[in-house]
Amino acid sequence: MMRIRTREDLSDLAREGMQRLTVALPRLSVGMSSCGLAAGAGELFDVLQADVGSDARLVRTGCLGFCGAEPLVEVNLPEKGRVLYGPVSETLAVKLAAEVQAGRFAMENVLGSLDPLVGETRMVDHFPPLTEHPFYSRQVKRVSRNLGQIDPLSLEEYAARGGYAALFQVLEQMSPEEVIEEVKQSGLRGRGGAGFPTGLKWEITRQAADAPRYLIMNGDEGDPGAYMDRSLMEGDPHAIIEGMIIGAYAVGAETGILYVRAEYPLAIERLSGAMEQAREAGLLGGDILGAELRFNLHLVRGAGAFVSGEETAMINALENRIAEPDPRPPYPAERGLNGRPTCINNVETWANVPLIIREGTKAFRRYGSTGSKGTKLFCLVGDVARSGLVEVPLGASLNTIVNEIGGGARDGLQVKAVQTGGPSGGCIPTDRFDLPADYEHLQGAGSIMGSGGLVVLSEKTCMVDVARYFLDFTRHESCGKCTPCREGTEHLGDILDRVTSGKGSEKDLDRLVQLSEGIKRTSLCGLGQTAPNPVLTSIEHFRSEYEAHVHEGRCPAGVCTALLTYSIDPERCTGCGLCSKECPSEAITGLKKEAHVLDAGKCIKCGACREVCAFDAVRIQ
Amino acid sequence: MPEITMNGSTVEVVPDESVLDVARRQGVFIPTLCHHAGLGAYGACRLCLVEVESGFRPGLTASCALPALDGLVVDTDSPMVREGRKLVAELLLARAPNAPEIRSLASSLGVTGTDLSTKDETCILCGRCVRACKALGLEAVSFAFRGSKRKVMSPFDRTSETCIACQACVTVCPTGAVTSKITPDAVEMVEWHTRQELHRCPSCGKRFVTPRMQTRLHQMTPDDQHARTSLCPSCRRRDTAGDQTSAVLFK
Amino acid sequence: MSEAFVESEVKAIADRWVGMPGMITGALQEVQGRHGYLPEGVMADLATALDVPLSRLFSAATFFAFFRLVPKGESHIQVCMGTACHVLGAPRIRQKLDRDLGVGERGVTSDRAYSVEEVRCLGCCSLAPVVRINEQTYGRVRMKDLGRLIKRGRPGGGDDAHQNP
Repeated sequence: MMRIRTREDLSDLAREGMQRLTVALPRLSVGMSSCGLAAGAGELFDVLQADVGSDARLVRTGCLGFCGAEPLVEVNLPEKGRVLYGPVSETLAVKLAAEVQAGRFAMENVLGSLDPLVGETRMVDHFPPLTEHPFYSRQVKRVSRNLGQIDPLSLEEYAARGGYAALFQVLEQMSPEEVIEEVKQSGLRGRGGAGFPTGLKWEITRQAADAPRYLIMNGDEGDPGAYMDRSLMEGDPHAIIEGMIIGAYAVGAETGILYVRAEYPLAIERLSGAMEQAREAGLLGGDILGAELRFNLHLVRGAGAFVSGEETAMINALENRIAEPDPRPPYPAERGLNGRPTCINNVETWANVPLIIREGTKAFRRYGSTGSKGTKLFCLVGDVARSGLVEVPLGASLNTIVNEIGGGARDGLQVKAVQTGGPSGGCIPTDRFDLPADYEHLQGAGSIMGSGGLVVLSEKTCMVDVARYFLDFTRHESCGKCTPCREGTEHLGDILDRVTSGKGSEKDLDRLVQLSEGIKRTSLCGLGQTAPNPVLTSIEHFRSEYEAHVHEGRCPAGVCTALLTYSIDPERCTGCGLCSKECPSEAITGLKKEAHVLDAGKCIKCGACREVCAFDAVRIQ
Repeated sequence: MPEITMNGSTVEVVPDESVLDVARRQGVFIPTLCHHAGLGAYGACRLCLVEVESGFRPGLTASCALPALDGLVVDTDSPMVREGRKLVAELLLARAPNAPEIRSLASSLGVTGTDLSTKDETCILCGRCVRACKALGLEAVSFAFRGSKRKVMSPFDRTSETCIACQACVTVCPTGAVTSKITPDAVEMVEWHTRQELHRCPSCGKRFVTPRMQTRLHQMTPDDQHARTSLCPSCRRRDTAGDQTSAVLFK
Repeated sequence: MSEAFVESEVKAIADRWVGMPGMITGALQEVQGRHGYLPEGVMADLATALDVPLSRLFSAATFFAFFRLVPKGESHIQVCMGTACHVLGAPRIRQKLDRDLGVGERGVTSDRAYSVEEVRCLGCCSLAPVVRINEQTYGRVRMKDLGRLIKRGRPGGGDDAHQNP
């Protein structure tokens, strides 16, 4: 890796990158973020490598977004353009490879065509543009523009897409104060969920005290159901690094820490690789771009504690204590790591910085709502037809995201609600789907935007069970320091356990509300202050489900196992015997070819029989 | 001079005071449990909550850790404060219903019982023992696990190699959860599974100090005083009184 | 493994981490990386080498879910309990694993062949439910796939299962 000292150096690098992106050879990009790998993309890559590796360039790229259709492969043919395929089986991969060798595009499982990465617009004739695919048509790819388009570990390709131009601009043309002002003007707010104005945080950090000061990237994305940050770390690590170098200049920090969850080994690998490349190129270390800027990054792995995403808890963990939070003030920006001013920002926040500098605040502010400017990554998961990583302007309605982009519920189900903000958030029922997805409106609805996880729930979801699930999570993750969170979440969980097993009462429901409100008001940190949100919102919007559990001993969604009875419909049962073979408690008996019988007394309601029955003969009430 | 408004009255404040400090100075009662003047603000028990009306994030905040910022307006006994304290008291009572200090604390806040499921703990995880041991530079005990499984223990719940049996933890514990058995021959720190023999005074032969405590005393005093600090308090006093040029060892 | 070897290995780990941010969790992660868990004796040596009280290492080892004080099984199975996975049947998968493998209270079978643990969100939510076996991640796992996945440690018949989003 050559050292980058001048704009010419960067242009040379970008030219190299453009050559890689402008294909003389066919280029096959396989989405190999963690989700792609879990779907089998690793094996696909090997198949493609074996079949067509000598005639094409194979690239391991980041998340292409439409995770529900993984594995995804993009085929880029010289002079012809790009086509995205998904899902790609090994059989289809073999076909793709054969067609590529013949200079053609295969016709199966086409999601859409794309413009070439560089060069003139050229549409691949017989395939509809990907931008018209319902999953993509309402999206705006800004902070995620490089995901799936470049090799995340190619500084050249990052440069070809405008990478590190913002850094040059900052160091050559702007003072630190001007950079801070630019970020303030943009209206960028913390993308981790709290939504604190980023420019203001930078200003406070710079003004709080002299150097040393620290920067931290909060990559402890712990909300179950959210992987926006993982996608950015895996798919565009240089964007984060560039953002932090700019931040280091603006704030006056020489040391930065990348704090990444231990559960994200690929993100750790890609960030480490990008750090090494940046170091070799002279973009990290001393005398960066000859501007007397010195900045070094250290990668620190989390160790499995959701609470370590809380700023003061993270600082305690970095200072070699357990990740328990401390009262604020002092705020980390004033007095944080080692007692020094410390600016902690979320991954997505850092990744937005080069964009803001490069394109200007006006371009950034073109998207978003009054109080929430810019775009946001959301992870649309759950009972949704089209799941994946999406980017929309802040303020896009839940209806747009869940129904237009997500296609509503999967497999003929009906959407019942969407959970935003993970365990710190709340559920929002469909009759409120006109709500804009931004900081103010989601908070006003009793939830929070959180980091961007959106879990779609259908009639197959029991809202009481969802609340119980989240409380299970929260009480397991509570650090245990303060009384209300430690004891309170335990009691909330116990009451919910009782309600879901049919042993609850109306008094329990009132207790849930009263305890929840008290825990919110008295807890030390954000974990305790938001832990009751799933309970409060589900009781507010779905009280009838709670009441069915306590008054009728019934779970309307058919989820709470203690309240279910399994039986076999004699009309449908063919006596194939598969269920009794699978049954772990020997509750099913019957002769071959005769209708089988289920003994409810022995049944442990594991659901194995229903899974194997090809005749839909297992009844659950 | 900076000032805050507490319960409607303006009070002048000095730098680095907490709202709790101001309240104590003014004779305004705020209950506390995990707070200890010598151990720094911890903010865990949540009993000392006050309601902020302006000058800071509105709502309840722990007064032990809230700096007395110029212009702050707080209420130490609003309905929200009382409800919050009652909840904390009830949760503590559910955890330690048989600890007399917790029962009387709860009762003083108007909480005499609870319908929540109860445990039978004595330790209420205020952290004073851990913080005291840390303040002495020993860190023989610490918090293990987390959430409702959080517990103070010596490493691996076994005999501590670091504990000097100084009794600081016993002294600061508000509920008597930390105990020791002191006999003429030995000190046993029950919860830390540590039993240490008491060594004899070289002068009168009385057993009075654990070897580790002795080592620590020696670390804290100049070499030429070690002979004196090996003596038991009575012999040491006699020794000091007889030596007209000796420095004062202990204030 | 001789004591001298362990001591020198611990010293090497400590030298790498002394003074670095996240020193304690970093060093403990390396120890666990080598031994599969955190042996008590090694922790005591590490405390000395890092010059921190043992109680701090013990606090970290018991606070952070990543650390184990008990060895893993030969096949270590992690069931993701993220929201999407929960909604799509992860608890049943966990129960089936516990049942079929006979996993004891500490999450390990008596012959140490298998250990099972729940993990919090691996971030592959569009492929729920997700199970990881010995660091290999599998998506869209059905109860009937489990036996096959565990025995071979590879996904079988994966292609057809992934056809429909």
